Amino acid sequence: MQRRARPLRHSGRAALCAFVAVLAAGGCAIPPPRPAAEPVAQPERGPVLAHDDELSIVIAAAGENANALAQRYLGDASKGWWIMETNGGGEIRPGQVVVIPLKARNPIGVYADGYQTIPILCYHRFGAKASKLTVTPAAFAAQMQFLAKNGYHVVPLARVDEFLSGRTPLPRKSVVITIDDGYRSAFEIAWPILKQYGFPATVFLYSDFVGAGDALNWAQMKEMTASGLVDVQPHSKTHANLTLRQADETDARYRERVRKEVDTPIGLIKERLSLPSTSFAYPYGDVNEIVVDLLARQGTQVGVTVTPGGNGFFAYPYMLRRNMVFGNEDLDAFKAKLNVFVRTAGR
Amino acid sequence: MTRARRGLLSCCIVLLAACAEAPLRPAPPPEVAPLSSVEAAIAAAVAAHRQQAEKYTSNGDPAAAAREWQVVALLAPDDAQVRAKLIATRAAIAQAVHDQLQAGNAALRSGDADRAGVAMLKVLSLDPGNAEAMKALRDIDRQKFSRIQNTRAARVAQSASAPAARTTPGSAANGDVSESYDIDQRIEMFKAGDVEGGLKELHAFVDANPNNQDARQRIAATVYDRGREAENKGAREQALMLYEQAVALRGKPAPEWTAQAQKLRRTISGEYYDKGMQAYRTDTGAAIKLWETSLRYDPQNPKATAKLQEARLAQDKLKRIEQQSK
Repeated sequence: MQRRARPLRHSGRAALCAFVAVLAAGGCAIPPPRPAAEPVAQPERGPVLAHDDELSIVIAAAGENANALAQRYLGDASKGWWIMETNGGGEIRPGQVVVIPLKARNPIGVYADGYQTIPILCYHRFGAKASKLTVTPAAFAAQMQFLAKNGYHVVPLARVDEFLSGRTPLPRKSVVITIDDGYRSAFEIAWPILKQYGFPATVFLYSDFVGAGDALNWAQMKEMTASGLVDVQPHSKTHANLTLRQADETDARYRERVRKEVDTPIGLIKERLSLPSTSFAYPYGDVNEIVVDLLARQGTQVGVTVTPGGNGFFAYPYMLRRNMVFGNEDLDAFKAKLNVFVRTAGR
Repeated sequence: MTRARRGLLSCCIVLLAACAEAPLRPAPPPEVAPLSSVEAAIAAAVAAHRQQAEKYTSNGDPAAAAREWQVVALLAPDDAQVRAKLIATRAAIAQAVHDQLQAGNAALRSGDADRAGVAMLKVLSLDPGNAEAMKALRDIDRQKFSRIQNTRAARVAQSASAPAARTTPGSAANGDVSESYDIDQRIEMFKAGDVEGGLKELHAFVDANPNNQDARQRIAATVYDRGREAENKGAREQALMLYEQAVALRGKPAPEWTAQAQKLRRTISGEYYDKGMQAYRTDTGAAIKLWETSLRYDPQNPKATAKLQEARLAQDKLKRIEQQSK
């Protein structure tokens, strides 16, 4: 397992001497003149003290923060949080011994005291007059500010599938934002606030709504999706309850009707926005295996309901829980919906 | 060496000495202090990780303890005691994984999904890659969630097919969150301008919950308000349609709303009568259609009735003259 059992002997010691001298001298030395075209230097590389298949242990050089270390050792600066979490979450200081996990050690987020869950927030409409399904701009801004200031990571819904499959971990305080139906206020009110914080969101659209009074239009959706922050995904054609059969409807006719409810918005979103369908929001949150089967055939990976709760890695991808954010609730109620960890009793 | 060469050498030395500054002293060896500070940092890290490992062990979290021992073993590879601790901790983990898997599978066999879930979570807290525990937890959650969804779907379907069986007046107001959401969602759709789709969904809810009077009252009031908005904007026919839908959705008599609808019917009927009068000057057929429409809105409209009768007689007379002339 260990590739290097004697980290501080012989040539390692010489390298360490040189590194320490550089660190010590760096602050007072006059830099030599550089050619004008020389690119900006990367932070000094600290020595690797030891490593095996799973870990590298290094000393952080001046200018090396978690993201820089992640870029250097993991090839991906966005994995800086792996390093932060492994090293207690604090700031990385020059000269600090830093443990770098070379692969995700616990991608499913299960710990001795509980397990990680991903809350998926569900909004509908935004407007000046609050109601159950209408959140005011001020309330939405306060909620986003709370997320930003309290260490929450707003991740795209598309990344939840990787977490559910056990392939890729998500930061411990990950949250997903979704906005149902396709109200114009998603563009006019939510979008500027999301942009301000750089938070991604998924708009679930029922396609018959497009063009109605307060609905989004395709140009607005195009503008949002072009930014890379907003994804538009299907929410049925008519917003009918997909589990509800009409009077005297045969199995074949029911299946055909549901197929249209699934296929129509998927086709339109692909045609108008060039977006693949990766997720689906069930109208009223209701779903059955027939709907799941049709979605799976379309290549859709996740489906979201309105059953409240967070999603552990083991959640059934086609029946994910979502927490609805209501306009008539206060910030404390919002905080209660951010269930990012479930404590398990005892050990 | 000749005298001349000796002289040349002396000159060179003098010249070099004149150009040169004080001779450079050899660079001092690297300070000892920085090196020891790094070693001190390593020693501190070893101590900190060792302490963490001991703490996790005493707290019953061998997985976290093993991770700490692994770091210590890498930093202090010659420490046999550390290596032994790491091996012992990993062995304890393997044993616990085995035991918890057995407990979880036994619980599954006895149908106790909750107990099985707890055991499988313990397995994964020790061995996050354990495929057997992952599959078991996924199956448990899927079954649990499918039950929730099936119950909900069955309730909706049952309500729709056998309305009389649902006799819980005011259930929405009694805290059924999902039902309340269903109503809000439909109302929001309707208010946002999807009148056709929204009405269809509101009727679907009322059909499925015919005895939920609170919900019906709320839905009907929303539709009626929308009708008033339409009437104020001059969209009288849409307003009338919405008033009538509101009365139907309410399910109970609403004299004020009915009176409003009847008044609007008379107004619309009068408008079609006037349009018919204009058309009658040049196009009897068009006038007849307009008066027929007028009477559809208000069958009691006496002026439209009289003019329609007159126009039909005139049209018949004209047809007879045309036939006689052929």
